[in-house]
Amino acid sequence: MRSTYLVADSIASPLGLGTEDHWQKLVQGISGISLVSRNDITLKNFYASSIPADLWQEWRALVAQPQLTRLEILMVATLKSVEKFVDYSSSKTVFIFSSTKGNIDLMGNAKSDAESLSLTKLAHAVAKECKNSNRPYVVSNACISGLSAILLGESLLKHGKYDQVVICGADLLSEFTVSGFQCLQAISPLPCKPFDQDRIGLSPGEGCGVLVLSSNPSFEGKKIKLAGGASSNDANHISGPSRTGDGLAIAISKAMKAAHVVPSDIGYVSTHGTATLYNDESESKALALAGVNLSPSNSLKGYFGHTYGAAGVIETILSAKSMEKSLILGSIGYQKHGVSTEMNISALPVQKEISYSLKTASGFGSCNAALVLSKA
Amino acid sequence: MRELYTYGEASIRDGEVSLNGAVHFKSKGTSFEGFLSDAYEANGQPYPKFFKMDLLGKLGFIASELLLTHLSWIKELPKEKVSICLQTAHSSLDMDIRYQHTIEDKSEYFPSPGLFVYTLPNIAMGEMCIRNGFKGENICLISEQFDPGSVMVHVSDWLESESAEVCLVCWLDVLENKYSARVVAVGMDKQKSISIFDPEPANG
Repeated sequence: MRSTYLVADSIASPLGLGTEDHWQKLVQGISGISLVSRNDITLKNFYASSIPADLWQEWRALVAQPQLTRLEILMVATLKSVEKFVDYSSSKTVFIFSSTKGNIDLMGNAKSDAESLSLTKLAHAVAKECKNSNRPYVVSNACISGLSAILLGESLLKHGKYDQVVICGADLLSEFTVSGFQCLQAISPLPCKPFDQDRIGLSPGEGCGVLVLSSNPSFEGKKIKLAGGASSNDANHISGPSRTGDGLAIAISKAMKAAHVVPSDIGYVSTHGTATLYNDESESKALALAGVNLSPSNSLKGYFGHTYGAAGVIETILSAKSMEKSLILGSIGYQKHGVSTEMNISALPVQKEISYSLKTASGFGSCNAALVLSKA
Repeated sequence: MRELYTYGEASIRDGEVSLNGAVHFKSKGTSFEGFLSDAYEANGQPYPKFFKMDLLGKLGFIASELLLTHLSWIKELPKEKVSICLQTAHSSLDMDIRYQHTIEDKSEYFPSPGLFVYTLPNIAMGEMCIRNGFKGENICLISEQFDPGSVMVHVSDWLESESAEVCLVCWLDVLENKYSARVVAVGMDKQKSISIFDPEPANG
């Protein structure tokens, strides 16, 4: 059976462009979250991971089609930073986009219509810019979108439909989503503090993650592979996680079964850890139910905020990086343990050889996903 | 990839709710929302959460209730063995527009949490899971048309690995009173099938 290798990747966020560039900053504990003034979103300053104007200007210069939207520019700039590693134009390469809200920043603009807000139109425009002519896939599955896209990619490779799958996950900060999370009282007035006793909500973020998957075992640069994964539903509440965490635990257990590993094999857990009261509590219970709560874990939301459709992709890329570098990034914002279940979280980086890592995610609509990475 | 079979199918279009191709309920010529309410009443079982749902969720609810009343054995399966694959063209745009109205006017700025939580397409899938307790695999994709063939390798991976026993392959779409829905129960057991599953693209 064909394996799924992680062969190339890039990240775009307020911290810059490129995975290595990000890694250098993340190991120093540098975060993209700051107090921002974004009058296009809200008149009050708020803590968010917001891409500054100078980076937008740099990235806009990389794009050939002048009519691309902000989100399309973000995606294309990130995709271009890995194009030397993969043949985007090959008929055996397909794109999978992961986004919760697409061009939602155009909403309310007098010229916006169903077409300009369409995620399929966005996907075609970006694939075209990369000279790929296969019909792109678009996954929009709330905050598990990134992991769902990766799992779909695995199936497409396994059955030989394609040799390379390019996962491109991105979302923007917008008035639409920020006002929504504000009215749900889910936004933290200070930088988010995943799993901490004083956590009071998430920090919204924007960014893009591009992850190239390949079934080609001779692909240069392959160090990590996808060992297994699964999704699940809590069947509990459309906007609140299950109290017991049983839904996410089902996804984790299925993912470990598919990867042929047992809980004690998991050397690192990259959690969803949004820093809302309910997510972190529920997630810690899920990890305990699945038997992995004592594995070293962190949340990367303290660096990127919650980037929705990008989060799963960015965090999977960095899980792989942690395995390559044998280093678990510090879980910034974490000081006093604040969930009822025991966990193994460090605010500072920890050196550790990791053979298998677990990545988890949960989202509105009661959805969950988990995947296991292993050394190739 | 092994052969996949259709166990049953419910669909909604042009004011008609159908089960396995036979019309089960016909609109009395009221509005789209009136049609959905009448179809809900005709279904029988009361489920007060229906009235809170967005239109995408209501479409999915009516189609899946009809199908699962007919194929009630699916509700008896282990809950983590029932999976859902949803495709939609217009995502949650119908609800996005409604939510946008609550934040458009800065002098009357009242963002509604009750509307905001429906501004994602996969919520409709979550509603089906909540209704039936289904805890299996989920994926939601945006696609210009109902094109199950494009994701059949993924669904068959769920079924062949025995992560799922049944997949509800769904199409739900609504925008400005244009709507269509299909919920097809798919699996690998020939004994339960009414036909070989046809993954060809279709307009709803």
